[in-house]
Amino acid sequence: MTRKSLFSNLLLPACLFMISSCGQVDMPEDVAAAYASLPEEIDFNRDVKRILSDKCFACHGPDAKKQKADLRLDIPEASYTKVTESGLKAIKPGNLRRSEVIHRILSNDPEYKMPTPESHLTLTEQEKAIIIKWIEQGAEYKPHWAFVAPKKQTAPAVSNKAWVKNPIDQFILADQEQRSLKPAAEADRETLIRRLSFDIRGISPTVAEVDRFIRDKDPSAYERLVERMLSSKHYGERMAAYWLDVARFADSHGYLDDKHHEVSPWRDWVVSAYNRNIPFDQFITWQLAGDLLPKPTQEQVLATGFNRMHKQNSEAGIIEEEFRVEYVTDRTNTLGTALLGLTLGCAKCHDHKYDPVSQKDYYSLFAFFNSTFEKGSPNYGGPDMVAGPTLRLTTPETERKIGLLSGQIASLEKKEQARFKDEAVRLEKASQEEIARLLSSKLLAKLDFESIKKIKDKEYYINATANKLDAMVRKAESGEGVKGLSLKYNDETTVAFEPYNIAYFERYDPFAFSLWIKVPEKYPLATVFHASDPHRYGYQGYDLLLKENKLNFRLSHAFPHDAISVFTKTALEPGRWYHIAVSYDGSSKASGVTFFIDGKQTATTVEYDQLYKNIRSYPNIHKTNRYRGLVFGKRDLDRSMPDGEIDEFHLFNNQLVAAEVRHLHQLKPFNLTGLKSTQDSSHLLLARKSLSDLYDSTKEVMVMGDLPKPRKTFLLERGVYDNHGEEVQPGTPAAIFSFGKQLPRNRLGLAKWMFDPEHPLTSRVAVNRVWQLIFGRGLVNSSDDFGNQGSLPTHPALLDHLAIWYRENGWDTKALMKYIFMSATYRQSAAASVEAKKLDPDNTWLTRSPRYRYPAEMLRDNALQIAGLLSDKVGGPSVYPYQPAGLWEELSDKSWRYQYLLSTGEDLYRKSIYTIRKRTSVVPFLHIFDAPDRSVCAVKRQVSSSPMQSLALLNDPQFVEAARFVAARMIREGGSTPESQIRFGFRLITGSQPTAREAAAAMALFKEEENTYRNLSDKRKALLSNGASTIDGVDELRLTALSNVALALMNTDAFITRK
Amino acid sequence: MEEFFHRHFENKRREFLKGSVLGLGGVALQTLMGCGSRKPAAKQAIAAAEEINKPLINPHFQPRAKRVIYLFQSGGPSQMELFDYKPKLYSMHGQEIPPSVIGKNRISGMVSNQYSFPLAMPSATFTQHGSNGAFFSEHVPHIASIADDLCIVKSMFTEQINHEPAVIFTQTGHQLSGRPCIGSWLSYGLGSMNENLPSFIVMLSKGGGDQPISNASWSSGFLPSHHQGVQFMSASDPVPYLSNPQGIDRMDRRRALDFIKKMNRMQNEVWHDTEIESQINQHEMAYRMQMAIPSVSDLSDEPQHILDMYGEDVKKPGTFAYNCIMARRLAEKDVRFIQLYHLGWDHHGGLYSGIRRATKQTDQASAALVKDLKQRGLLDDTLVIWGGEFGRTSFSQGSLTPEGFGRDHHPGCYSIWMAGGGVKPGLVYGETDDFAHNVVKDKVHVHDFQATLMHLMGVDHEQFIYKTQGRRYRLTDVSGHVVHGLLA
Amino acid sequence: MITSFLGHLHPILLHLPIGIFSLAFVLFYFNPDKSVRLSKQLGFILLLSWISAILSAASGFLLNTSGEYNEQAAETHQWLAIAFTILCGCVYFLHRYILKTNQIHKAFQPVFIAALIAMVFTGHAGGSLTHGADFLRPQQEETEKHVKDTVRQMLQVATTELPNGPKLPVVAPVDTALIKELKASGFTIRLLAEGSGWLDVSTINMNTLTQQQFEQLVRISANIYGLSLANQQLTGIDLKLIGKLTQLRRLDIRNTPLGDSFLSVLSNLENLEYLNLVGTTVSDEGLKYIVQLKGLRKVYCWNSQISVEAINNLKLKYPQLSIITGL
Repeated sequence: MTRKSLFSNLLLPACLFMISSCGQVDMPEDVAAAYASLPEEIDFNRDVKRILSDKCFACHGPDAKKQKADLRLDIPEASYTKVTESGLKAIKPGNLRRSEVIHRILSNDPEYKMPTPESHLTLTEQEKAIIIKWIEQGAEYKPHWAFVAPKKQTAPAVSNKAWVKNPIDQFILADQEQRSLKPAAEADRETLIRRLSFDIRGISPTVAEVDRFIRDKDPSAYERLVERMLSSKHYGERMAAYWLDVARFADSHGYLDDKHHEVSPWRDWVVSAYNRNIPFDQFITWQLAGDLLPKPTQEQVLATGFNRMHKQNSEAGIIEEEFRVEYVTDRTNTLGTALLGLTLGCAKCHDHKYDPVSQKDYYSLFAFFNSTFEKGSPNYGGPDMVAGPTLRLTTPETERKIGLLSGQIASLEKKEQARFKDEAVRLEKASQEEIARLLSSKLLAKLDFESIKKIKDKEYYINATANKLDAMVRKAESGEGVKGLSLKYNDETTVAFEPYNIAYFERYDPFAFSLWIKVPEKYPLATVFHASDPHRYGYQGYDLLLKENKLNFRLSHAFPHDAISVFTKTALEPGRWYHIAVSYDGSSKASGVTFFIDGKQTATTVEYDQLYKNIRSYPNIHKTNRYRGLVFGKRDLDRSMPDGEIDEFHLFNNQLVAAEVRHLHQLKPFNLTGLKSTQDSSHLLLARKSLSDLYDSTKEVMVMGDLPKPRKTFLLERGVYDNHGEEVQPGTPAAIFSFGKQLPRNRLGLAKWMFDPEHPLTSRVAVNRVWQLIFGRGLVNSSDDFGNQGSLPTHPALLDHLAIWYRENGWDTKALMKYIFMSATYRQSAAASVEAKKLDPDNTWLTRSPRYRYPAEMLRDNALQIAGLLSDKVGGPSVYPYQPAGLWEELSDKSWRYQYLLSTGEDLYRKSIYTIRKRTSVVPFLHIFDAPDRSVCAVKRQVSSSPMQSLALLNDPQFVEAARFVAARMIREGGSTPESQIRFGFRLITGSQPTAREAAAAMALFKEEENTYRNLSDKRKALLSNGASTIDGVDELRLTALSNVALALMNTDAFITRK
Repeated sequence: MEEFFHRHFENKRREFLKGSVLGLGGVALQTLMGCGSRKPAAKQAIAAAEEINKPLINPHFQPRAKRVIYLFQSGGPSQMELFDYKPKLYSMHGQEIPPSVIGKNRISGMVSNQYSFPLAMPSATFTQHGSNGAFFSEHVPHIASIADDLCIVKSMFTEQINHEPAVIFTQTGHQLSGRPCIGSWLSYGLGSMNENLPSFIVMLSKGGGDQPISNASWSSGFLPSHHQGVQFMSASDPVPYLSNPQGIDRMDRRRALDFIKKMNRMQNEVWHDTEIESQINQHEMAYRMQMAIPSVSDLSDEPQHILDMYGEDVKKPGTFAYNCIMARRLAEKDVRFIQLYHLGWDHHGGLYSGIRRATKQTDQASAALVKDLKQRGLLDDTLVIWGGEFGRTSFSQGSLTPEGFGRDHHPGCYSIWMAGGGVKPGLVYGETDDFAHNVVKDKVHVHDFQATLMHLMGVDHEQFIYKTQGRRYRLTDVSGHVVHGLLA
Repeated sequence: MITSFLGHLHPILLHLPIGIFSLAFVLFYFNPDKSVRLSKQLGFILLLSWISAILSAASGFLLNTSGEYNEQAAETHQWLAIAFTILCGCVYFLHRYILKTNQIHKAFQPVFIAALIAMVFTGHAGGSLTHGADFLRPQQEETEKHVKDTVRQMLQVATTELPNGPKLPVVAPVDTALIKELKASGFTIRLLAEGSGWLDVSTINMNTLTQQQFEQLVRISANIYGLSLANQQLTGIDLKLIGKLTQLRRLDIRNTPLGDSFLSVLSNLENLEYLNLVGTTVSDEGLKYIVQLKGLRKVYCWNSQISVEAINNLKLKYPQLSIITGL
């Protein structure tokens, strides 16, 4: 035996030992079986990511706090390097035996097995096999497909070139041919025009349009049809139906009281924006940050209403900051769902468990929206009250008038100020008598709180000017005043003048008051007196407060957005009497307010100087806390001035000069019952009054508007509103797309970040949404979640192609839709053989046109359209369609509860997007067909089927009435014989000609109906009386029979399903 | 010889070595390569991607209850005036509530402006009833009379202090709307027993002057929308569009439905779409519902002595008494989840008259429902629950005058009672402190209550999930455990 | 398995190469008679040490596949052992070469010492593997782990059956096709619980019940846990079949025209616990059948023809039976 042979037969096996021993581990049979059937090459994004994410990331994902055994499996740096307790690396690429993960997932020992039994998560055999094969092939991680910017795609080559009409078809056909599938034939003309009409206009085409299209043999007929329909004004309304769901547009607040608010101007803007085909990037930038654009137009500011459509809470007793944080949270989550396709909301209380969005990232996005100048509990009350910040929707005409009046007022004011200054100088040297006479001429009321007069069971302080307007007293005490007794406040004290008869000043009325005041302590907040509504209704009126003992005089229409608020610089020391006087010149400007302390004018600071609308409070059913006139003491739901005292109160109907104030301060007498000078109706007052009326008449709508200085934003521990963690600055998650250094750190910067060409998500999410609108399902099925738990794109290359195409074509939405409509993929027929369906059961590879039930709005609008009842008026306030009686009545017991005011005439037949959307009670017909209550942003609707839908289609008055009108059209336009009328009705309702069997079946039903109703005239009249509108001049029996046939046809699949 | 021996030995040795090494190596190699004696691995079809969201159809384990009747007293009934007898409140009437008792309890915005928090004596006297001597207030004599059937829980507590979030929290396990309520989870999970009636029915009654209720409390959230509560209205049609329009009666409708079925089937020859078959089923069920529902709401077949049991409101639709007898009739027809809401317990002021009005409207009918179910043998597997979304404060809200005083909301502790369906009868569970302000023994969180309810229906609340937006959602969110002390 | 047996020989085999090789080493360096260096005996000893090294390496390797030992440390021990085996082989062959050429090959000594060092390290690594038990995953007692698993299984089974009620025996489940067939004929049939063989049968969704339909129930008679015939007219129905439902626990015949004669059918249903006779024509006569039912716990007779006196003395005689008659 030579050395060589010995060497070969001894050492060779030894070496074999060594090599083979380093990588293998034994697999249970069923995993091995699954392993055998796996595709050759395992791709991380396609196969492995969804398993790791769904079954492991809950405890081993990006959420730092929840990482068990501080092991992360979502990033290679962690899973390759982390040495687990057994001494092995979590994953050792290419080496199964040395990867702890393998031992864990194959073990059956409940203590050692992963995922743990407690998590109720299990790995299927196939999933284990995939992980094994993945690690064997090097455990290669790839970045998440959606966080990598889309790359330009070249359309793949296909063999059946004849079928291709544009690049979209090449992407679709390539995938089909790869799986040996074939596209369906092109649909017939009747189907194509019906499908296009619904996809673009939300209603069916008229019979004339269908006939014209069938006759039009010109090769460009189809393209011209697409263009004609895209230019129709119904397109804007159809797209608005989808965008109102995304924007969670509703006519009511949504929380407990569900107060209504008027937001229809914003809906009108959405319809017109789509009809004017405003590029998508502008459309979004205006809605996110229109108010921050350089010199924004009214339209651009109106667009920002998008971020004010969230639910609002006006329940008394809530903590305002808690719900203000809730509103900002809603805006952040909506940004995620609507525009980024990310479930950002998951990262509010902890790091996101599946996507690389830490809690800090969440609050960096939150910071963009956290500086809105808004209240947690919105002001409400009369129709004039809109929750600020607001935009006054002035027409150019009103703008012109305002400019004119303002100029006039400015010059008059200059003269008045000069006159007033001379008067003040003159009075400095005037005699006491003259000053006293002047004071008497202005005096409206004087209370010295000396004695209480009893009338029946009520007590009054006498109004010394004896003009019968005494002040009613409840639970008052008195103290030792500056002169005689004083009025002392306790928790319950109220001393109130008659409301509306006295002190009911408007913002253009000059007036003044003076009083003595002594306070026992430093009040954080106290109300000296108020002639206003309480806090919830925006403090409408005027009041005098003490904040940290600084005097604060306010005139408010809707505090703080539409109000004047002026503070004295000096604070009152407790325990000593002060003489206070305030004079207001009626200019609606902070500069018009002058404060006097102890007879001398004192310096003031201005908190707010933006008063536009009326400060007079008008009674309204929603103001359950009534306006009580000028009241000393307790205001509803507010802090009184316990143990504070006031004395010698005077009220004047004009301004005061320093001399007059000194006279009062020195308690000099003057005639209390002097002659009353009527309010001087000077030109200035009249000009101011007409300007005020002009402002009062302009409509206001909610928009975005930031505080002068942005609020500080903190990370909220466990998402609790006041649990402040570290401070954060506006920013975006770096793992997705970092925020450009040069971008401004505000919503405008955010919008620019969204539309940066390198952004991986914006365009993909947008085009996926358009694809979903047309095909019923996006290329990415989970259109609101492109993250790790979302579904993978069925055609990734096509998605990127469309994303780049949309951006390069200037974000032109109509062009994108046309691009899709022109594809052969879109023009396929929906009919497919049973075998074809078996090969592609879910139509994932679009081997046929998809079938799905029309959304709720299209069902109702189409029924009205074919009946000839649909009004094509565009825009305007919400209308009240048919609804079962008593629905709203059931929900609330409140005296102010909203009545359902059923519309009449044309409004009864408006398109469904214009119908009232009350969040706590959606119109049943729309709700039963899955229209959401729009509490939160929704980008996809469920498609459910329930017996309630059948009941609605069969018995809803608007459907029975529509069927009756369709029958009338069949008689008038369908020829003379029942056969031709039924044929016409069939085409109207289903959009296609009936087959012989279908026509025969319809005729059979018609005959049965005719026999049943032949001699039952009252039953006929009863049937024809359903619904508000009547038909005459048509044979009653024929109408009855045909309307039952029409109603039955409108309940078949052909009417409610897109084909 | 030695040579021969040597050579022989040499060869032998070599052969031995080769054989052994290779032999050993061979054996080792075989196991290593994992090629082991592979059984002809049956080519099982690789398990289809596990279908996460599918209804349970059958409960996890044998249920103790098949139906639930939830008598929800909306507004927050005051525990001190009903079931939680506290002698100390009488003796300390008017005194400030000790700060130690208030502790970190959250105070609602309504009273945060108040300077003083005086304790208010319950506006009721208490007597003992039943074999276990449980205390009941004078306002609930009828409920007191069935004390031996009741399982009273005095140690409930919740996390929300405002009405709507608290109601939605009790119903859906989450404070903000958007998630399915208990009724929807059970309708989705266990399905309906009676095919002619919805499996989850909601009925409202108004006691006067209370907070509105929103349909978010009976919404199906992310579950398929036909599992939302079907609201039976007290107006003409209990269910929207139930009755045929004028001029069309049942026979005409039958003709139309036959025609629709024929047309749909003809068209399905082109489409082969399973959705069309489901439409046909929906039409048939609607037709049956048009018969089934009116027969339930027609009380003419009820003997007078049964009607008298429920009180004089029983014939007036929209009242609590009417809804209670309807609940019993629906339970007899095996409806899965019947949810009543009575609005009228939010006594911020005028508690004296408010408590009397609310109990007058609800006491007799609630007890009558339990007695009626029991005598018909239905209480055994029907769980009746009576309670609100939170309790009220032991200190008064507003001025402490006998007729004026009220109580504010209080999440810290409140009482509910249950009957039938596998809960221990004649039990008083849990204790609160002398001021009925904090729970001191056997705390039951809202999620624990929900977990126990699911347990009685045979459902393990931790296993019953629905995956959406990448997360596995549960009724009890991430917490809650079954309170075994309550189970019979 | 043969491999694990060989694996377990490792602790014995590993001492051989240590002993033999060190003997060879000592002989080579410290034997006074230097001629031994070139002797065949030394060659043979080297051969033996090599063979034993191979055997112990192989057995060591097999032991390791059971995966009990810490991967990391076993790895180093294994490489060192293989290195020693190879060096041992080289020493043996070099020595044969020396025998042929009769003078010490210059490479012999360094390889010889290298082999010794390799042996020392291998021994050390092996030692820490077995005795340095702390950093090894503590090998649980086989029995203790086993006990914990079985307890978990038993608990699991118990909960699916009945958490807090009388223990239900396990019964073989009925095949789904049969259940589907019965459902098609109108019965509402539900499993008591997932995976349980017990069935709850009801006629709630049947306007009328025919004998032909009713007979079908006999095919699942052993599995019926509960049967409800509430509100059925039951005309032309042969009710003796109910007697065959031996496992029946709950029977609800409320608001049916049945009377005393029917109760005789129930005599052999000793598992029956709940019997609902509300609104039937059962009278005092029927009570004698009811008392024979050993397992009965609850019976509901409201609105039947049973007199109040009969019920009262029934309650006296059978305190454990709860008889509910309503107000």
